[in-house]
Amino acid sequence: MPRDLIRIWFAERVAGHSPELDGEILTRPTLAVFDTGGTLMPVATVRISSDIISAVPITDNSHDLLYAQPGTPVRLRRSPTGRLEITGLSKRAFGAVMRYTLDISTGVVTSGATTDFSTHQVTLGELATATSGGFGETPLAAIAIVNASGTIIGLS
Amino acid sequence: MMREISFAAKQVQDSTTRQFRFQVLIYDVLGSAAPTIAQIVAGSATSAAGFSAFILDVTSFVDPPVNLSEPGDRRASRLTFNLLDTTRSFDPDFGANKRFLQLGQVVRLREGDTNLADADWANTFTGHIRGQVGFVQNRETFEFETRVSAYGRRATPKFLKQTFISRTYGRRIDLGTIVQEIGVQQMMLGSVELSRMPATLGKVTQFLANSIVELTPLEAVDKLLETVGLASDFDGSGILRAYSRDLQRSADKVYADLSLIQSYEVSEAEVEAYNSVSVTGLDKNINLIDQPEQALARATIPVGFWRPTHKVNVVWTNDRSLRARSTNMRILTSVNEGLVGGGIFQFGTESYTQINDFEGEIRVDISLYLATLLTLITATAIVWAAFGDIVVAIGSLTITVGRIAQQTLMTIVFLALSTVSSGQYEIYGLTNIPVYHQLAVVMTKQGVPDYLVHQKQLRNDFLNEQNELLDLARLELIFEEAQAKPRQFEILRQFDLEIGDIVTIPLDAGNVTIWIDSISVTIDREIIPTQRCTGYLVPTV
Repeated sequence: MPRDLIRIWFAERVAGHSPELDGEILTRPTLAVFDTGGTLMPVATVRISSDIISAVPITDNSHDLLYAQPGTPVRLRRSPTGRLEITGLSKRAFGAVMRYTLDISTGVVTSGATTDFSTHQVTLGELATATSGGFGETPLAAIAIVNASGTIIGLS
Repeated sequence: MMREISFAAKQVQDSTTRQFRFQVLIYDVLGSAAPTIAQIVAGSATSAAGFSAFILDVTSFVDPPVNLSEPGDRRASRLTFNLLDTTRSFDPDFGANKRFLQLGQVVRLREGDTNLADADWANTFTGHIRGQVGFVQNRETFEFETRVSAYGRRATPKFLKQTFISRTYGRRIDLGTIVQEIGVQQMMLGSVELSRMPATLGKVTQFLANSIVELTPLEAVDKLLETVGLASDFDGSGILRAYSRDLQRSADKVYADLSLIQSYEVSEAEVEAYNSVSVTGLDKNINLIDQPEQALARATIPVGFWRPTHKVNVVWTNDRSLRARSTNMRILTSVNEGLVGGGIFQFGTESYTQINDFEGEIRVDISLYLATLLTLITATAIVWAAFGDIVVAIGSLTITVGRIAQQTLMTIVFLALSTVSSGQYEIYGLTNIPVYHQLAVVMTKQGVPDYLVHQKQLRNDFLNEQNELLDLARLELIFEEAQAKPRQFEILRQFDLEIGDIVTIPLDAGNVTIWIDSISVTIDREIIPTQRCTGYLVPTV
């Protein structure tokens, strides 16, 4: 598993936003190296609706979460400054977002792109093609994040 | 959809020659033995029914104009008027009629014509006095003026602000039933007050347990009605009704000519209309998400001759909250290990079955062992009985032949009886968590570039199938699209037009169809009032 540096993300607190929201783990939680001092910290890549945020920290004392499988719905808490952290499991998971267009003059509905994400362990075939570097660059047992049309959009 | 009025009233409102009249009644609903608002709405709170002391007809004191506005979009209507008198009767502190001016008393506006029978008049407003009525005593003109504001029933705090928790509804309950129950239990409405609300919405609950938590009654009703494209409103009689937001239905009223219509206006308005609608619901199928395999339970089972089958029930958690699938047993220590198992007998068989998602059963069966043991005991007895008393001399000692055979067998029997064993087992499995999956549909107007998308977001957990989401998204997008084209027209007072009605007006250049969003009217004496209807141009789909 590649050990990314924790990305610092900036978020403004938006008035009226609910302090908690649902998300879905896309990668198995990993220990990531903190920028200073080499501290290890569990993080996961999380899908919130149709957006993906990587390196979301998991709160301490959430032992079960460390073993959560990709696809597990989780609960996220928003800190007063807008940062998110995973606090527990959730009962609500995301499904596909199906898009349609409506021609007002004719009333015809046309179906468009579907937004959805799923994850799986990279297959042997994908090991060679997932990244431009060919075999060796993607580690075995890496998790691939796949969009609705089957294209790999991220590796972890 | 439109308000029901009598044929005679229809004839009057279609005519431009009228003798318009109105009536303002105030009902005391707070005094002892006073009528309830349900009785007023049902029409049973009349003088004939013995309520004359609680009804005050203030029409002759009304100093016009009487202003009635129905702002629509799930907001309460408002009625304001002045009462002018040369006595103090409407003084809220000292007047003879002060009890009629208290907060909460019911005000009703009736409109009709001198040519209409009393029963044919239309109730166009029923609501409660809100706050403190104004009162001015003028020493110069010797007049006492009282200013009254009343709000429609939608503004009732209990309906609008007080949240509630409903009972739990099971599967396949029509949402209309829930609406009716909220009306009866949370809004204390009677059958007449609910008579314009559909009893069934044709859509049922999908989950085993459904409840409405911390919504106000009106929010809950609107949330339920939203699933089929309806919205709630109180009509002029104080009856809770539902109107459709579907702009594709046929017009409720088509005017044949412009004789009643006084003006038509395409109002200049700054509107930021939505051109995309996102609807999020909850999939009715619950999904199970697997977690890594883990040890779920452990059991140690002592076995022996006292019972042929040893069963132990194992649960993953004591409260049976953890669910698992693909469970299997790992034998840490088998009952067959040890003295007997390794020797003469195979002690027993060990098996495991999963009973349900939350528990399993470990079974150690030693009945074969016991059967063998019983056979041995019987054999011993037979041997004992069968062998004759033949004395064999071994030196100076004698011994019966039967006893030698018997003791040999008895040794085995005692050994078997004294043998107990125990097994240790562990159950592994994939735990899984049941989750609700969201369903989402985004409907965007064709030809809108991504950077111009302005999305309205709806979330309704009572929508559980994709086609329901699609239908609602389509309906709402057409509704939102219409909002970009506000229209106004002025028409001679129509008793039957309500918010949510669709009317077609024949302009010289062609017909326009308008969905009415709000209505306001100013009523004067001896003048046919003109009502101003604001709405949206219905797109021709």
